[in-house]
Amino acid sequence: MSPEQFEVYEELGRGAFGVVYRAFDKVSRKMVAIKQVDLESADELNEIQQEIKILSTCQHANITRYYGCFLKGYKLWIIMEFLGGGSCSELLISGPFGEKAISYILHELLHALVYLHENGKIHRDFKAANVLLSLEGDVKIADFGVATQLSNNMSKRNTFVGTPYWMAPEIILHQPYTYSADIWSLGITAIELAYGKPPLSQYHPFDVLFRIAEDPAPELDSSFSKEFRSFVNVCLNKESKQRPSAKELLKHPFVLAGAKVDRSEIVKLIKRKHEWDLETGNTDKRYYTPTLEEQTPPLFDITLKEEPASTLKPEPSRKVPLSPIKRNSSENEDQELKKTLNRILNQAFNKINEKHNLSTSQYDQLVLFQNTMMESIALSPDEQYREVFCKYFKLVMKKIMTTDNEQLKDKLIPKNLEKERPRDEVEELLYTRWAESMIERWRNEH
Amino acid sequence: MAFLFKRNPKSPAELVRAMNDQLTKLETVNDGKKAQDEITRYLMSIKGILTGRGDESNGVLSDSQPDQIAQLAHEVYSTDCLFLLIQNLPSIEFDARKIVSLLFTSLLKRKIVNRSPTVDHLLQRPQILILLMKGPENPEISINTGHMLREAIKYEQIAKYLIFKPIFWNYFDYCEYGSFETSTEAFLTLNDFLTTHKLVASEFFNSHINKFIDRINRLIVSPNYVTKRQSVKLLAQLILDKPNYNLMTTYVNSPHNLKLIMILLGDKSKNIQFESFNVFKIFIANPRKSRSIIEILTKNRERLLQFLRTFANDRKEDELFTVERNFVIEQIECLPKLVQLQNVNAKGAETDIHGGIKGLQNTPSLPNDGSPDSKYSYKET
Repeated sequence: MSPEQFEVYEELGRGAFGVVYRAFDKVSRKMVAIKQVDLESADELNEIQQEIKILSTCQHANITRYYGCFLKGYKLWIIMEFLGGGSCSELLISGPFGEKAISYILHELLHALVYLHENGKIHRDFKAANVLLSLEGDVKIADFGVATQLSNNMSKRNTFVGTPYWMAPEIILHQPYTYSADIWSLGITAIELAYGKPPLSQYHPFDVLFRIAEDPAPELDSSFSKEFRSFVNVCLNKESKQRPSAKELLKHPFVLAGAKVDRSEIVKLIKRKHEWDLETGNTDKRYYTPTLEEQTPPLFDITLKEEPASTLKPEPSRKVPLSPIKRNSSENEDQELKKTLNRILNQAFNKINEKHNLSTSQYDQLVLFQNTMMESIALSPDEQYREVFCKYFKLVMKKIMTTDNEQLKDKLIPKNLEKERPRDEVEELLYTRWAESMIERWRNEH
Repeated sequence: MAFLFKRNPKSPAELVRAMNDQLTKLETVNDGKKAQDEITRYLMSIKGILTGRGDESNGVLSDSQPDQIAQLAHEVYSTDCLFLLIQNLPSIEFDARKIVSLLFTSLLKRKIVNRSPTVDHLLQRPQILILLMKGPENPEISINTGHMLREAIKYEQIAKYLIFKPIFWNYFDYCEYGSFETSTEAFLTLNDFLTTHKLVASEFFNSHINKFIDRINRLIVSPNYVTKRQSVKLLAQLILDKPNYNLMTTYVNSPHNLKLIMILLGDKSKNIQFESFNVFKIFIANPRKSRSIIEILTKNRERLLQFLRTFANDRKEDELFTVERNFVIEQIECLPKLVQLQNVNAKGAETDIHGGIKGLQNTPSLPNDGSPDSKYSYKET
C-alpha cells in the first residue's frame, strides 16, 4: 500500500488522535476511511503500535475492518473500511432512536463485544460516536484502542474531546478494571441512543467524573419498555462484578428481540438524517471542524477550505495545549486581549449551552470551534497567521453585513446591535432618565 | 456442518494426536479446507482446557484442569506438535492462530518445581525457535510469531541461545523493511533481545562490537521515520546500560559515530533531535575525548552553542534534561575557540546549525582520521 493509490476526499471526523478522511482506493476500487495519526506529536510510539496490533488481529462482521497502514513522513496512515451511514451520534442529531432500532444495534454490538472479550481485548472507548453504520444497515464498532490510547497520550491537549460520560465508575476511581467496563459503557450508549445524549451531558466533563462515581447509576424513565429498562439496569450496575458478560447479555429478552428486528430499521434512520440534513442545510461537516488546528505553521490556506484533503502538507504539527491560560506566560503583552477574548467566548458558549441544552456532539463541535477562534486570534505561535486570520475574519464579517441576502444577514448579524448603534439623542435622553429612575427606586428600597 | 456429529476426541492426548493428523493434511488439495476447520475445532477445545472453561459442546473432560494441562503438555512435547503448528500457521484460520499463541505461552509459563519443561523442550528442539525467528518473513503471521518469540526470550537460556545465531542479524533488516506492522514488530523483538537480559546482551556486544555498531548506525539513518526514531532511542538506552561499558567507550570514541549523531541532532523531527541528544551528551561527558572528537566539536563550537542554547526549550519542566543540557553547553564552552587564519572575520562559523551540521555529511574538508585541517589553528580562551 502506498499514498499514491488513494484519492483523498473530505474530512469525516477528527479527534485527539488525528484526522479521518474519506478516500478512494484505486487498487481495490473501494471507498475507504483513512485515519492519519501524527506520530511526531506523540511522545511514545509503543502505544500506537500496540493499537495497530489490536486492529490487525481483529476480524469480525461487527468491527470495522482494518486493511493496513503505512508511514508517510511523520504520519501513520491507517486504512479502514468506510461506512456510508455515518456514526450513531451523527444520526442522533436528527432525533433519538426508537426501541426497535436500539435493540437491533445492541444485539449487533454485543456480538462484537463477545468477540473482543474472548480475544482478551477491552474497547475502553465505547459510545455512539464509535458505532458506525453502513448504508445497508450493518452495525460496526470503530476506533477501538487507537482513540483511547492516543487521547490518553494527548490528554493535555484534548480535555474536552475525550469526554468521560461513558466511563465506568471503576475506571474513574482508578480501580483495576476488566471487560465489564465495556458493559457499563454499552449501557450508557443505550441511554444515549434513547435520549440523544448520554446521562449527565448537561454537566461539564470535570463535574461528570465525580458524579459518575458518586451518584446512583442512571436509568431510563418509565416511558420505555420493561425489557429495555431492565437491560440498561443490568449493564449499569455500579458493582462491576455484578454486571453480566457480553455473552450472557446476548440472551437478554431485549437483545433477543433485537435479533429479530429487520435492518431496514437502521436504513430508515439513515434516511431520516439525510432528510434532516436537506431541510436544515446541514450538508457538510467540514464547516464545523477546524481544519487549521493541525497545521499551525506557515500555512495560510484558511480560505482554501474547499481544497481536497490530499493537499494537506505532512508538516509536523506542533503540540498546542488546549488551555489558553497556561500558554505564553512569558509574553504578557497581549494578555489583556487574550483574557477578554477568552471571557467573551466562554460567556457566549455557556449562554448557548444553557439555553439550548446541547447534545454532546453539538457541544464538542462548539468547543472545537471556540478553540479555533481562540487559537487563530490570540494563541497561535505563528504571528503572521494570526494577522491573516483576523483580516480574513473581518472581511467575512464585512461581506456578510453588506450582502443582499437578507436571510443570511438575519442568521448572522445580531439584531439588537443594529438597533442600538444609531441610538439618537432623544433615545439617549430617555434611556438615561429611565436608568436614573431605576437607580432612584433601588436607593429608596434600601 | 457434518463434523459436529463426529465422535469427539476425549482426552487431551487424543486431541493433540487428532490435531497433528489434520495438520499434515492441510497441504492436500481436497482436504485443505476441511482440515482447517477441524484444526480450529481442536484448538478451541485446547483453549477450553487452558482457560479452565471446558467448552460444553466438545469432549467429555472429567479430569481436573492441572492434570489435563499436564497431559496436554506431555503429548505436545512428545509429538512435536508446536513445530507442526508453527510451521503450518499461515494455513491455520485467522482467529485460531491466536489459540496457537495461547497454547505456546501457557505451556511456556508452566513450572515443575523450579524447572520450566517447555524451555527445556524448546532448547532440545531449537527448530521451533528458528521457525519463530523467521516469522517476519511472512507478514501474515509475523504478529503471532513475534508475540510467541518475545514470550520465549523472556527466558535467559533461550535468549542466549538465539542471540548468537547468525539469523539474529536478520532482525536489523527486518525492522527496516516490509509493512509497518512487520517492521515495528521486528523492532520490538530486537529491542527485547538487547535490553531484557543485560548480561547476555553485554556478552553479545563484546563479541560483535564492530558489527553491531555498524548495523545500529545503519538503522539510525534509516529513511523510515519510525525505525530511525526508535533505534536512536534504543542506542541511547544501550550505551547507558551499565554492563555495556565497553560498547559505550567504543561508540563515543569514534569520530564517525559523532558525525552521525550530530547529523541526527539537526534532524527535522524534534523527537529524533531529542533522542540523539541523549547519545550526544555521552560524547561530551567522556572525560578522555580523542583528538579527532575534540577537533569536530571545536570546529562546530559556535554552531553547537547557538543550537543548544535554545534546544528543546519546550522541555523546560524536565529538570534532568535542563541540567544535562546546561552541562553539555558548559563543556562545549570550555573547548578552545577556533580562529580562522586566512580570514579573521569568522562569519563562516556562524551559519545556521542545520545547514552546518548537515554539511558534515559531505564536506570533504572534514578529516576522518583527526588530522588537523590546515585552515584552522587553535587558540586557548
